[in-house]
Amino acid sequence: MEPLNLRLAYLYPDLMNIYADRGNVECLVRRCEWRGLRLEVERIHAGTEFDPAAIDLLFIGGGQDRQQQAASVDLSGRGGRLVRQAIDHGAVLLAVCGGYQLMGRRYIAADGSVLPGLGIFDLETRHSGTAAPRCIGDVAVGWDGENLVGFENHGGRTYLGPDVEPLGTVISGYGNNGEDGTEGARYGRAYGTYLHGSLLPKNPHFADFLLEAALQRREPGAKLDPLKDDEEWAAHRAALKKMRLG
Amino acid sequence: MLGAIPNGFVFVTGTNGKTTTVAMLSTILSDAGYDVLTNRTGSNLARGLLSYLLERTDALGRLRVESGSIGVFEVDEAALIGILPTAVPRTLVLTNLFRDQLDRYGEIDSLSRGWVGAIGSAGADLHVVANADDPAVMLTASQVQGMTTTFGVAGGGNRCSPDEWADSSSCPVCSSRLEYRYIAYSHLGDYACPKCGFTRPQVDFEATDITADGLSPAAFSIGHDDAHSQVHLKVPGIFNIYNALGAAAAAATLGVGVEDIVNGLGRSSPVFGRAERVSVGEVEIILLLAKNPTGANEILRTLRGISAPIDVLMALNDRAADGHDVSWIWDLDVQNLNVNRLTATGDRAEDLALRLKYGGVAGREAVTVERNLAGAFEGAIRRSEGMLYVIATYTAMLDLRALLVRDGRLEPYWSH
Repeated sequence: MEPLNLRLAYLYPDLMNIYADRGNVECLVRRCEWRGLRLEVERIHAGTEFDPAAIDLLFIGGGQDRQQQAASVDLSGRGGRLVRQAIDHGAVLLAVCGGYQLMGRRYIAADGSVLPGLGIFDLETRHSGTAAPRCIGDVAVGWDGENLVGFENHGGRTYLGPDVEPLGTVISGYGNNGEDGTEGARYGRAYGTYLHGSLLPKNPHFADFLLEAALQRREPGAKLDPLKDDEEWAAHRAALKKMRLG
Repeated sequence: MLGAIPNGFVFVTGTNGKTTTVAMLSTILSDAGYDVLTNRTGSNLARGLLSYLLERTDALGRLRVESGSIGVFEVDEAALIGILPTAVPRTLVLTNLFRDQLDRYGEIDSLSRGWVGAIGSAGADLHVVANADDPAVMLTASQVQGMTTTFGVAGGGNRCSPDEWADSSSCPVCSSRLEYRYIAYSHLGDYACPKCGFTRPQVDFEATDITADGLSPAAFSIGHDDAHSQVHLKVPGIFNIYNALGAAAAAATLGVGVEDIVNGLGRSSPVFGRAERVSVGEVEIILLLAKNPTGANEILRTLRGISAPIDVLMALNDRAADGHDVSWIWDLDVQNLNVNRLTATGDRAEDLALRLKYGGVAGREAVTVERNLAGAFEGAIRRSEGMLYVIATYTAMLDLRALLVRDGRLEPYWSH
């Protein structure tokens, strides 16, 4: 039997690249490879065409303000329509930090100007200017009865609307806004989060959760073979220990 | 206090290359007969500069200077914004702007906006020496009221698209994707914006005929005013050619002649952790400081140029001076590193080991993970077959050097 090829659309890798979030893409590629699957990565730049029906996974990372604006311009036009169509076709989305903010309804900058988002998640993000401290530091989140660990660094604070669930609850750190104990967002097969680290390598259970969801789009009920994740869990445990949680 | 230095002072700032540029410029100026006051070894925060000056102050609070004294100071790229309004140097060298410790410095854009404001307020007497190959630096230099001298590398490579992790591949003026005729490394090269016309300027000091292979000392021809001189450095890598160009251009703004510049560059030895060589018994250790993805990737590129499998120790700390966020290791091109034995150590040894696993470095049995720096270092030296390449973040490098000094083993290969 031909090995199954999954396809990942990596959105704006040259613009949304500031926190090495591409480690998430590398992680997904390797975890497929180690199981005899293939994950093809399509790099989608502003203006790049792609077939939304052929995409199993979408990834977007964090960027600098100026680059984030450039990505936002493309997302408000054709790029955004393609992303939305891919999600409608059942693609799994992971959006981190700036990319997560762009997938909300709107981003309100410190000067009050409004940057429209793609509206995948019912949420908005507000930046209250340089007077408000950035949310920076190690973070641990309760997710699905387990933990996610990472590092966050964001100036904007995100508030969820009624039509979206948080990805998890903050155990240590700030999360969405440092006030309501929520972190990230989930809606259907779309997941947003503030966690860098990179996120997926030291949270292999979440990486496989996303991969399995993408796989099941092709083969309903399909299960991933377990991997020997000694290094992954060692790094995960070290992060918890650093936060005095392990 | 700095105003008391008879021949004035120079500031060197930017993300990478400050310490080496300061060392090269200091050597040139010493050779030219100056008494050089300088803050060595990365003590580049405003605090470090101040404490250095206090050490040189007499009981009445006066700086001890001679008629031939001149200052060459490394200034932290973020601290510059606060320092410049009160202390304006004769010459300010802008080396480059890379992403570095986002939790401390923030984004490149906000740093470069801060520079624009500070330099705009410094007046017309400030002479700026700027890296023409860095679009983020040249955005700042475009705001300079006084003289500007530029430096750059001609045809420094055959690549013309930036690596994915490169920070500044979009136009700093209009955010369009920059087009490059070539890339020297990261986002440094010959760029032009197809939309707004922002482009690499005319270059005053240009390097041609470059030799920069592996860890061999780099050499190049320096061109200025249609004259060319051959330069042989004691340090490797294209990034050190940029440092040499910055030092040369700065020396020229102070009136130093080409012959003195070329000689000084040839005499300048490697500084703290910049390819320093130390012998421990039969093993030769090469210390390579890696503070951010750009610097670390240049080191890895250099190591990939070595044909035989190599023994490597990598040390990752996450203390204040290193940056608490270690996400940046996922931007390291560890693939295709031809490794014999690898030791991962430091506060975040587990993160490093994980990154190496996903990067496919060596067989996993060849990787030793030991968080304790001293133990890991001992083990790596014991297992090494002649040559050990040590790549470490700032505080890890401090600790490793302290171990070598403690044991009386720090025998510099090149004389200081």
